[in-house]
Amino acid sequence: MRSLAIVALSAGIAAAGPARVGPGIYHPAYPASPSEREVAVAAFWLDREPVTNADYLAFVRAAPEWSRGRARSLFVDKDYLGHWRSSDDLGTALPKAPVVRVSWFSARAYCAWRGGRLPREAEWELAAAADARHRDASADPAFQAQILKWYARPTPAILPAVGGAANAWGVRDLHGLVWEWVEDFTASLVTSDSRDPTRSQVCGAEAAASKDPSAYATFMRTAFRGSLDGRDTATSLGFRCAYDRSPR
Amino acid sequence: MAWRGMAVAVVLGVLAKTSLLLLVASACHASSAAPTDDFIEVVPASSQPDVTSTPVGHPLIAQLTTAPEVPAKIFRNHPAHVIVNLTVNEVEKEIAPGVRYTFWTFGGDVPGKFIRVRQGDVVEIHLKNDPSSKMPHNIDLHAVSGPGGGAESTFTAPGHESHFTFRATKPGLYVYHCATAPVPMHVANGMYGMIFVEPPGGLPAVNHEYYIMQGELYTVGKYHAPGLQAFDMDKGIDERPTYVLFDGAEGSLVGDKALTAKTGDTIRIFFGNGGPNLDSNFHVIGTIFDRVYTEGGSIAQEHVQTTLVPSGGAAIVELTVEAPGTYAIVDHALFRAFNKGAVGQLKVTGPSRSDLFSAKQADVAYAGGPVEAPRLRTDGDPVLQMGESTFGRICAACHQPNGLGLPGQFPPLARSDYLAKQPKEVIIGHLLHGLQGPVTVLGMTYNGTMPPLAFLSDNEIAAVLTYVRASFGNSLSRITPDEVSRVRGQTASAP
Amino acid sequence: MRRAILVAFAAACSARPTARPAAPPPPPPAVQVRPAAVGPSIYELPIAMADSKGATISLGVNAGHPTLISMFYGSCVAACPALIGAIGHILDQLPPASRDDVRVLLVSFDPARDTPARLAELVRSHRLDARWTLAAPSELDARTLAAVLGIRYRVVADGEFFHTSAIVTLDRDGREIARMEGLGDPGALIAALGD
Repeated sequence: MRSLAIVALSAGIAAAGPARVGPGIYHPAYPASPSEREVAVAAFWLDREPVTNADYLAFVRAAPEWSRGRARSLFVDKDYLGHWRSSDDLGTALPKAPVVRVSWFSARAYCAWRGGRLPREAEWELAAAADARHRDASADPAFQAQILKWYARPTPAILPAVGGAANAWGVRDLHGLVWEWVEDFTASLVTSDSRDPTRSQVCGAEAAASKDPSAYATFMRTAFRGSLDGRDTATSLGFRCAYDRSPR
Repeated sequence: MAWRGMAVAVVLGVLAKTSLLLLVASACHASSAAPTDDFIEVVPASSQPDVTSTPVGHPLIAQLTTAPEVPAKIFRNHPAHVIVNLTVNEVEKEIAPGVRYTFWTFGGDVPGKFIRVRQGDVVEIHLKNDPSSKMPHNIDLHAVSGPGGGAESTFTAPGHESHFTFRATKPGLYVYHCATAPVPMHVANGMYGMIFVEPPGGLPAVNHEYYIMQGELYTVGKYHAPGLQAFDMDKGIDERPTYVLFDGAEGSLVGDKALTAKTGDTIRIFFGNGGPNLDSNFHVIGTIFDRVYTEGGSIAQEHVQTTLVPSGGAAIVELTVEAPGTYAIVDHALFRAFNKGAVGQLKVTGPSRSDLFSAKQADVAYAGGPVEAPRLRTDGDPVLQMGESTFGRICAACHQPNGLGLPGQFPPLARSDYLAKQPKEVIIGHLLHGLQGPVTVLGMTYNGTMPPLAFLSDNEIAAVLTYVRASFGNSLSRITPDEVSRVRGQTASAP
Repeated sequence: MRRAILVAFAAACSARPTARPAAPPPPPPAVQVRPAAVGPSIYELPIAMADSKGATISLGVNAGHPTLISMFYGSCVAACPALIGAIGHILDQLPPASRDDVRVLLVSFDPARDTPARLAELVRSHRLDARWTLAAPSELDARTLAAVLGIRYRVVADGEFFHTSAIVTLDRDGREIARMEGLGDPGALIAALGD
């Protein structure tokens, strides 16, 4: 009886809307400036899972100007939704797998359609610092090692469905499935050559070296974001949406 | 510069051997499908090597090779526009039997592809990052003169491609590697290779050219722990590698993958050290490097046993192999060779050269050299006491008080194999009748004369023999006066 | 004709050897050209901005003129004055006909502080003439424009930003034809603007 109740409860949670995350203080493992050693993050709502192929298909049907082949080249590159069989047909892509090969512009358009926005980097990182039991597991070497292990593996040709274990905020798949867009990815100031100590391109940025090994996972996310342009798509890059108030 | 003289010599040699063939310069390069330019243009010997003219004609596609192969020598006498197509692949490979690691590679292998261009070439790098890659990557070539070595211009997200052009103004052997944050991790995961900027006229011909690159691996599991191993950042920071490898795997140059040559061959090894942390102490056991272009530069040192190659550095070594056999290639920081995998092989076939190198010539027993044994305690044993005093009076003059004898003159009695092997009667006979002629003790032959000591009584002979057989590290049976008497009676007339 | 020349320049700068003529190739470009951006016009972005006169203008306010576009924030004390100086220097290097034709659009990523009054004060203190437009969009649109132009900026404290500086040259229709990262050698930008 109890196990049935638990199953029903978790099914209910899975069907529930976005999770409330924060408020909290995000401690960047690698602060980009002295004033960013602690970043206050107001409470917000975050999709429990990444946006799936099925979700995104519904979007392009409702907003055909964003379908493959019609979306403007200013906003997407030539690989946009390349893993679908056609602009309207997923083919071998799993409906419940996270949608990838979407650009920042198209991800933003989707979230606006859903009444939300992309999460900001600090919001995403606050949510992603949690493991299954602790809201801030960033100092746990085992947690960091797991993340680094995933970064070391190439992307599989067909991505699996969403639905990993929930973290302490009730959010799933922030690690181990896909990279995710954030609203202010253009704030990632890792210059393309990370060893440049003078950085004449950047007004006042900090050195990009960290002596703390737990910084590396964050650092790699920042480096990944820093390599992107807004119209870029990638086979391992998806997104989820954030909301300033609960959509329910 | 040492190479320029050689280049002039090569050109003069060509002039002497060939009739004048005037080849139209642009026609040589018309086919961009040809990976190398085989035509040798005749150049007046007095002209300076051309490293500055603007390339004309269609660009060439650089021939890239996987270790241990090296692209063909470049013969053309003028700069060209060369395109290098490099793709970054993140790929799982075996590093030892049952042990796997996910490498980030330039071209699918560790080390990355070998690039060979000529001084003065305009080199256009097309860096592609495979869509299946998880990480962005870029490239810093040490051959580039300019900030970052190209890294800033080649930052490439997965599924994208970057182009970057530089002029190879200086000759030499240079490392290239990825410089994306965190840089040491990208290098530790295998993102290093080499580019050789050949001086005009090239290097002198050799029988074989090989490409070897050393690098470390930092894994969470111990050495030879099976399965897919994860990168260990802490070990990397502490500079405690689990593996030190040539060409990305244990056994990459071993057995049927060993480098090969024939006796008398000259070999050139382009050796690089990707690091990320350790220097290499490059040595080929059983050979001396005839020439080492230390640090991949223009000046060679001669007759070098082991050359130090810094992390992020390179060396060109040249050697000649005279005798057949298998030569081990090692990092001479030996725990790396024996316990971390830094060992390869060069197998040389051909007729033996016993004038230079013999196989084992003799294998004889060696019971240890004469070693002074502790003095025997004789108190309480009148026989031993008599033996000790007799020994001191008569035997010690030749056999020495410590029983070690004198090499070449008087054989030792200490730990004597002769005493152990000979029957008692023979030994008794020596004392009674003396000994002439060669006798071999502990591997040495003595050809002296031992005078007869028949004037000693049976008791004395028995006592001194008993004393000697129990002393000086010997542990042999006692001899009785009866035994002496028997021999004396038997061999009274024997010579 | 001019557009054809600018487009040809862009094609020559893109590194595809098969398209290159038999003449010696140009030296490595000091300016990066992103082939992907050559094509669509950024004026497609429906971005509305408040300028230094308090009027609402669109991104395409300079359509019909070659335009230098960049991003900044008004409270910046080092890089942004240097940016304005660099652009001024570029304008001075142009041949007289181009000098009058070119426009400059500087877009703020700090709309909270860079009000029309603040922008007007900057125009006055830097003595910027009628070719220059300073404007501020919404925060969301500032991010959008930065993503299109490849400019990065980060709020590090109230009113303080870390940011890259890039000057992008747009043709008369708003298509990117050249860009300069950081404050370096503007030679190719000048070449792109001159006839």
